[in-house]
Amino acid sequence: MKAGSKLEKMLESGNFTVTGEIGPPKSCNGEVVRHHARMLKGWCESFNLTDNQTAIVRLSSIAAGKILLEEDCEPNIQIVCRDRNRIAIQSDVLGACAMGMKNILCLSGDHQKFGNHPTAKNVYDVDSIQLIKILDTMRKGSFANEEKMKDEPPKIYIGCAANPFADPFEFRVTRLEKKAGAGADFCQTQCVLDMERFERWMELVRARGLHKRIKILAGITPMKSVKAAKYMRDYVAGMMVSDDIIQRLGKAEDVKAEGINIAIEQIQHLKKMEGIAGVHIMAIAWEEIVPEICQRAGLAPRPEV
Amino acid sequence: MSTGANFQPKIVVFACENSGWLAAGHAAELSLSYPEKVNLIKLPCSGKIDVLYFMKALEKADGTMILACQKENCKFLQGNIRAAQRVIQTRHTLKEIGIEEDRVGIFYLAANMGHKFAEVVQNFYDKIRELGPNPGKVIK
Amino acid sequence: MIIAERKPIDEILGFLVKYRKVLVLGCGGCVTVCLAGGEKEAGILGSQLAMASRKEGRPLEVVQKTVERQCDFEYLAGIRHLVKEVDAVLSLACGIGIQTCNEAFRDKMTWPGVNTRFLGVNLNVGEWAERCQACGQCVLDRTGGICPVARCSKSIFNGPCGGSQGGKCEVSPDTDCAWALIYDRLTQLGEVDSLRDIMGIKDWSHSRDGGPRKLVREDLELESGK
Repeated sequence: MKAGSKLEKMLESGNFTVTGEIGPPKSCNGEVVRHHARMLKGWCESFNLTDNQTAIVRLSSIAAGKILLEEDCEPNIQIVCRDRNRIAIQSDVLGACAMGMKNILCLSGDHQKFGNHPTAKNVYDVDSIQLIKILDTMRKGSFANEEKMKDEPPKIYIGCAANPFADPFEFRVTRLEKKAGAGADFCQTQCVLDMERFERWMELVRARGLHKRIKILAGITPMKSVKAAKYMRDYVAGMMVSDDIIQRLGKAEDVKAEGINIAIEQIQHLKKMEGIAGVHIMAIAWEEIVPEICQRAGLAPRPEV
Repeated sequence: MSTGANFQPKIVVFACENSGWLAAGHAAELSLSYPEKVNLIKLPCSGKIDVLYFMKALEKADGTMILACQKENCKFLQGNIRAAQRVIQTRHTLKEIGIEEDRVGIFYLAANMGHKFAEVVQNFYDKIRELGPNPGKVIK
Repeated sequence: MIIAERKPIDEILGFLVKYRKVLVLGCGGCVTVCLAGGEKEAGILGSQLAMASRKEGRPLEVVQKTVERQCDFEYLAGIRHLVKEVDAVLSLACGIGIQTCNEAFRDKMTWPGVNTRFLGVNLNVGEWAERCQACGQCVLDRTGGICPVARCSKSIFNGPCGGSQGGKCEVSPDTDCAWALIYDRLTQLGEVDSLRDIMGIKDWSHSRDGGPRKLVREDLELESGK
């Protein structure tokens, strides 16, 4: 066991694992985080807490993580490379671990151009793969400069992202392999809205035996409207939405219900896919729907490990 | 800055030697008259004109123009096209400092168009007269 | 080449409003090539300043001169007599030249007439694109000759990130994804397997992050100077 977190134990047990996501507020109101934690507690092993997602200033991931711990929920802290240099990152990791956090995801981060402070300086001292390596080095007892750490090293379960929908397609698997090689234990994919493409990617993953080296959680996002689906297809970099999903939503009488149906069908399909260790449910601005999805997809109650 | 009937604008005419310059000669042969304070400067091709020449001209004059060969008749193929682009650039340069863009222009004619020459120059002269003296004129 | 762009005319006029006589100093180096501050541009700007100030009823006398380049003190020594006769200098050189002028002519302010934009290539008439960040430790040998520091919006060394689609960067559809380019190039050169290795963390201390940089070539220093 690297860190012994709930997430790690569930993934190691071989049970189909479920993670969720909570977006911290654009304010210092911790109650928003607390409210979501209470609502979602028990439905997932652990919850991602995004780090200034889309480069919009929000309550920090680690601070939100502390609130989750207070609510007896397990956080998945996120660290993006955009805003912090290696000094701040390592410092934050030490702090997060001191407060009891174990799961840390290493991400590049959306360019600040997309956010509300586009004139900010862009850090990217290290990239996501180098970041994974730093965290791996830390849990082995050294800082990035190879200096030995005092005391017990932090216990970290390292996560990363994978995007089967970005280009170049053939290279995406190599990139995941590099992340696994750098020390990543689990990965969450970009939300699957084009199953055909996802399956092709998984073929390449399995061909390299990658699914045995790193636990893969497929991203699931229930669609709320045709407009939202089209927006994601056309304006979000690195995202693909298949025509049949757009059509199904377009024809549906109750679009939201159909969106939920699609998500549930996807989960059931993924449960049977070789190499998939679980799902990561990102119900953007629709967190309250997660319990229903988990219930209807047969994911509840979560097994004891 | 007098804008009354006494104002006689100074015009600098850059003329391509294959069209405008010859047309001016043709006009002279026909004894056609055009305003006196018109400076004629010969260029080997209208494409030789530059924003810099227009600007230097306007430091001392009220209006300036380039006479070029008509479409597809440029002896050097694209000279008249480049001249047109430089007129646009000059207009932008004038606009930046709040000077009327119409103080620069491009007109097309052929060597044997003495009448057209006189007409173009007179019309331009009249237009500049209406605009009044160039407020940016450095040398009076 | 250093790519610069003339500052907005109002900004320049603002710098010079209190003067009666200025020297507009062009540079024969990079700014001539990128059509921002060479002899011609100095001439045009000089006319604009003279005409604009005349229009406002506060005539500014403009002297125009262009030197070989402004990043070598030798070339500035030759115009010291001109600077003596004016109230201020407006330099159209890049930021380096502007600063060198200020160092060379200490008693007069040399104002910046251009914004120095980036180090780049001339792709087409009137089109330039950034290519180098002067990071101090070139890695072009490992990326098929395409720079991840300058051309990747996130300066990633193990790219591309998840925002790369259709060969374009998430930042703009006009921006190529540098890592897509690197991947294609290395594939073309038969070297794409090298991308399976993780490229280590960059030592940014060689870059501007380490402080203002200096280069001394001892083999070139003149004995008499020591």
